[in-house]
Amino acid sequence: MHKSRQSTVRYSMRGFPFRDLAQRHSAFNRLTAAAKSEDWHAWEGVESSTITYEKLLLFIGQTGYGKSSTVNAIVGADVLQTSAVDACTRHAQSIDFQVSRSHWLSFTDMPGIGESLARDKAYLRTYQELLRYASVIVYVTRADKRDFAVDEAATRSLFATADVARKVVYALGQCDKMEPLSRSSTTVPSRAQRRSIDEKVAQIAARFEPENAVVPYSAVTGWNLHRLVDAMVRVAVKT
Amino acid sequence: MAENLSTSEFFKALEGRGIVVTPEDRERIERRFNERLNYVPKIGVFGKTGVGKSSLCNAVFGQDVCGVSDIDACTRNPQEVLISIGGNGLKLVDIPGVGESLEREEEYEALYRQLLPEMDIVLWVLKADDRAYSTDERHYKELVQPIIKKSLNKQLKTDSPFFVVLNQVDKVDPFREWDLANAGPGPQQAKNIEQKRASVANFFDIPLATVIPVSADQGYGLVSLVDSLVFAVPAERKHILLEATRKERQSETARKAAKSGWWEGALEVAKKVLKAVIVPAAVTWFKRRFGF
Repeated sequence: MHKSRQSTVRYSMRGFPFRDLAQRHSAFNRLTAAAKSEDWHAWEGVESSTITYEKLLLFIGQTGYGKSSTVNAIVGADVLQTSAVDACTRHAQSIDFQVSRSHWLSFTDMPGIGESLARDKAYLRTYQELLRYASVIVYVTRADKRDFAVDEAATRSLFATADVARKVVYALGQCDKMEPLSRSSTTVPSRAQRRSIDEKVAQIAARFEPENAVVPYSAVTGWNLHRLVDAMVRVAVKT
Repeated sequence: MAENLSTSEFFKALEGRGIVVTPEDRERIERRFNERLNYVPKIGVFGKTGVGKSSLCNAVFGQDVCGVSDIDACTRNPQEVLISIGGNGLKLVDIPGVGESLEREEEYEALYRQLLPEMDIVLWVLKADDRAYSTDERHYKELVQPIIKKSLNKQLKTDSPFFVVLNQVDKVDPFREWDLANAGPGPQQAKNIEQKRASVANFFDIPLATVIPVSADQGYGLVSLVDSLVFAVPAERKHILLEATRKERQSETARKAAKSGWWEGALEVAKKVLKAVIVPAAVTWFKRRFGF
């Protein structure tokens, strides 16, 4: 394995096979078909001469904006630790699913940027190293804020080249917290919230000029999560 | 000015203590009083776009600062980082994001250097359900803190003219727990808010008491915020500061403190003008009467 992947805490989903994940989100079935193609990243084993093929879904973005929660929501289990208050993802964490004998699908959750200047430098460098191994880069930010300066600076430097930019999916989370806020536990945004969300999506699209769709969703309520998965898989089979 | 803070009552009280004030002295004292009353409290409100600076000012001071929008940033032109509101001396400073050139940074430093020493109080507004504070860290620790440490504390002779206002606490997770009927946090939310306060105090390296949780939207914590502001400024400015806030945000304690602070200041003026002829008995009477 490459050295930058060694510090990753890895969770193999024993007792929770890939077919269960594909049952939750049928879009993942497209990866099984794609397993015959050569677009998977090949890792050479350190000890044996076996080769494993990987589709890496890399989750990056600012701290506290819901990277870990999003992965947990997609997987359908609280595998990654989350906190309402402090940054808790200090190392890369990965949940690996075995797609076929030698093919793996990895959800890799990175520590968030924007917490402190000293940490950002190190984290951004790690992001940069991992970008080329990623099939899909999910940039997680949140709908219920106005200040996108940190996101803008980070994405501009990270996604500067065309072959990186085409792998990026912008995930616009926490839509359940969009104004006007509703505290009743409906899983679907109200009509007024929908309008704010649509406007925000348009703003993000204009500002970040993404190659792929900007997907609004909520990890907490699960709203539009399937669309996020669809967008990710569409990019994954393309690469 | 409130009725019970009239200068005629003040002179009546002095006369009652056997102190005769000549018409000239009376005029001089009144002029100085008025100078003080015309003082405009200056409150600097710093924070990133979207943390709720405008809503907070509207909720506390009742000033329609600018159209508060859920979608757009209030300050669009990056040059216009400073908004002056009416005659009330409220100043909102928008902190820009990262990635700006060093030149811009120098501009900000110059702006802060000019603004901060004039401020009675600086409020640094954060969004409670956010923890991406690197922009705040850079601006506070590199540009603002050094100036505050040097000038503000010294000038005001107080330890805490600086507060972090943790806004939008109603959105701290689990946000559906928020008690709408009582406008307060639910049990787990309350715990998370307390944890957040502690970690913010630690991050800014300030006393826990100066991190104030509020929700401008929900009208939560604003009375406590006004209390803290009133107690942070020097005695003679408490009354003027309190007068700038909305009536419904003023606690009885704050009103009392403001009133006695005003009399304390008035007595100081009288002492200076009358060249310390005020007898100790009068001072004692004032202190007992107005509680300072």
